[in-house]
Amino acid sequence: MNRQIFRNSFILIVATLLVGASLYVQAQPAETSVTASVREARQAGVAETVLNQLLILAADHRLEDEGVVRLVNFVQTVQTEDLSIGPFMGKIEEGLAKQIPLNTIATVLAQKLDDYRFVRKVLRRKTGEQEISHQDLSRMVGSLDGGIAREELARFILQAPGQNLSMLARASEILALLKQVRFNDTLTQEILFTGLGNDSLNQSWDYLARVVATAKRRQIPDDEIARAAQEALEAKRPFKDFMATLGFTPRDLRHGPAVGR
Amino acid sequence: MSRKKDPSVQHLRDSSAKLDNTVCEKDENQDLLALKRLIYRMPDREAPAGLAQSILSSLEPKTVPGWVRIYRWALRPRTVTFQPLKLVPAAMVLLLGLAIAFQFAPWRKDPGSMDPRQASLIPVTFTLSYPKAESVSLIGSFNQWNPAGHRMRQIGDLNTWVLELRLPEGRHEYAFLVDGKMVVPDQSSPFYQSDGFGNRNSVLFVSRDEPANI
Repeated sequence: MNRQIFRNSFILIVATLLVGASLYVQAQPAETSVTASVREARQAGVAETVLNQLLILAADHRLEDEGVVRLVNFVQTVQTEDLSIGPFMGKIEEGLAKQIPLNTIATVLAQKLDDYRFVRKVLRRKTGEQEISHQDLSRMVGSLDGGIAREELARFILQAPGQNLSMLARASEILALLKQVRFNDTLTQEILFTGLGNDSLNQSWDYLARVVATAKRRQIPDDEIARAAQEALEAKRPFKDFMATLGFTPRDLRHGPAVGR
Repeated sequence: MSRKKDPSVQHLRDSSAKLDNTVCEKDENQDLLALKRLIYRMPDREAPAGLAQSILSSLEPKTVPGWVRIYRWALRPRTVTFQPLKLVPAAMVLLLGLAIAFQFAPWRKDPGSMDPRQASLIPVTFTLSYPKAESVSLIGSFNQWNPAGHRMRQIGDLNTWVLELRLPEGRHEYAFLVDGKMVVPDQSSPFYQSDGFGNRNSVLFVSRDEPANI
């Protein structure tokens, strides 16, 4: 009799302990999906500042956990592909500031990531194992947003003379800008190839498109602009000389927001 | 170490005790005279060696920690009297000292100078003509597309919105955010960039180099 009581008591105690343990485990706060994704991103090498920035943005714009996880995972993908996170963070900030739905932002980010992969692949074909800086890659991808089709950009990159990626990035940017002001495509390519071939398309030529836009407003023919630019680039003369050849002063060229006043 | 009792002292004590017992019975003067006689009869002995030293050492003041002295000094009440007119020269000297210190203070900047970082920035004036707008903010790559703190102000006929900024050299993308929701590109800028969301961002080139400052 005593033995049976002892056995029943033992079973009761064990059962109580099991139920209590299971209740305790359920009561523990489970790691949230955001926390887990942030931890994974951190382990993948995403900088703490980037993660903090992302979480602050999420809080500011009251994003739901699902959306935050999506963005964190995306940033992690960018990191693992060894791309610069900056432009993507910029796009997230821009989308949220413009009150774009998160689904659309995610789609645009995916498209942009695909653009980066595409341009990097084209550059690999051209330069082999030459190191591609984040800045140069971003500028070339940016030209796609400036109105150049992927195929056109790929053709331009592959046909362009020289191996200077910094100048090539500048050239692809100018290519898109000159297209926007409807400058002759053939002449554009000739100018840029002259600059790339002579290794003279330096930083001061970043402003070529603005000069061309103003020259066109003053009804200077495209071929005259192209001739002046090519002569300056061939002779490796300063950009100022090219402007002077067209008869411009800085005041003549001011357009859009007033800079420096 | 026990000291040997001096017999004369013992005797004096005994006498004193006796006197105590008889003080009520005898005249006070007589007691005193008896005591005096006893003292006179005491042998004239030399004081033990080291007695003076031990007495002096016991009289030496105890050393008190500095902070206790300061504390006591601070607690001690004082009375201050002053004549306001006599404070004028001191006040003048103090003011002069402060003025000199402020003039040569390391944190003080030349009024004409500017923060080096600010000085490297280039002033840019953005304008937008948008008559129906309630509010317009400037968003762009230079402010992380954050409209906070970049609200434009109305001028003239109240149709034109203006904002002056100082921007670093380079290429910047921007747009106007009208009434906090509508994205409007700058029509005066010939260059643009698709933002991927169905809008266009305007593109601005900022350069310090005068010929390129276009």
